[in-house]
Amino acid sequence: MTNEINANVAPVESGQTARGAIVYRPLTDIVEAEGGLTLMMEMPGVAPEDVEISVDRGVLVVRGRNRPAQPENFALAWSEYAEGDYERAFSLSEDLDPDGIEARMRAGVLTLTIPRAKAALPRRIEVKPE
Amino acid sequence: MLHPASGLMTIDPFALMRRVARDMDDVMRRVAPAAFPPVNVWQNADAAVVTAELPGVEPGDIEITVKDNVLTLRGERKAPEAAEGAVWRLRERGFGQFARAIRLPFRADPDKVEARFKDGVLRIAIQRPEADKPRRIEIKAS
Repeated sequence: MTNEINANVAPVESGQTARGAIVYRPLTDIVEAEGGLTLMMEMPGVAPEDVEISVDRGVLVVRGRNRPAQPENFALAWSEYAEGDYERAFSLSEDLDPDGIEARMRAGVLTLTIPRAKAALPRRIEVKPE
Repeated sequence: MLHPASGLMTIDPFALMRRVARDMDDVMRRVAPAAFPPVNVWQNADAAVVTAELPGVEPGDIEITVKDNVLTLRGERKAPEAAEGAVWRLRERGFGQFARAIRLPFRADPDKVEARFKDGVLRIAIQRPEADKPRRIEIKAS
């Protein structure tokens, strides 16, 4: 069964700019199972309500907006990471059902499940009389 | 990898620069994997705040200890369980045990340490002991 599956989710280049903030490409894991795909994307610092998911013409775009966590009246003494927004796009193959996408967010990780589309039913084409 | 030409046609003079910078980031990540978790340290006269990015880690799997002026973070990033017969198409996230020791700018009182975990970011506030605070000495009028 798994060999027949040709689900393809490839990262696509995006020319989008952000509003001045650094934009990271979230580290992503993708698991494919019989029922569909599961994507897990790391977006630390992003609250569930600040995630935007859209599908347009087979391209899934995920954006996460970070709310700066700088404590008030503190100066940065040591820095190993910079906060930023997240953005990544994936092209979905046609055997996936974009309407069935479900999203969950926990501990800064967004989990998307994308079900496989129901197999297109064979369609009979009627020949119209002249 | 797919690189459609559309990205080059957008009128954005910084698109190429950003792409190069991002590719460099990717290269750097592969060449020199950074310590996990990455931390930021904030400071003022009364306290220090340490923030750490720990996406996907359960709060129960993080152990925080403070001794003298060293704060230690220990824990485990558990890999998600995949169903039987499932295939990994992309694996970019890291998993496993981690431990980091962070030197604080003062000797901390373990009772005055507070930690919160929200949206994958750990935030630890450490109060500076009274005896350790810089004190302003008034000049007496003669």
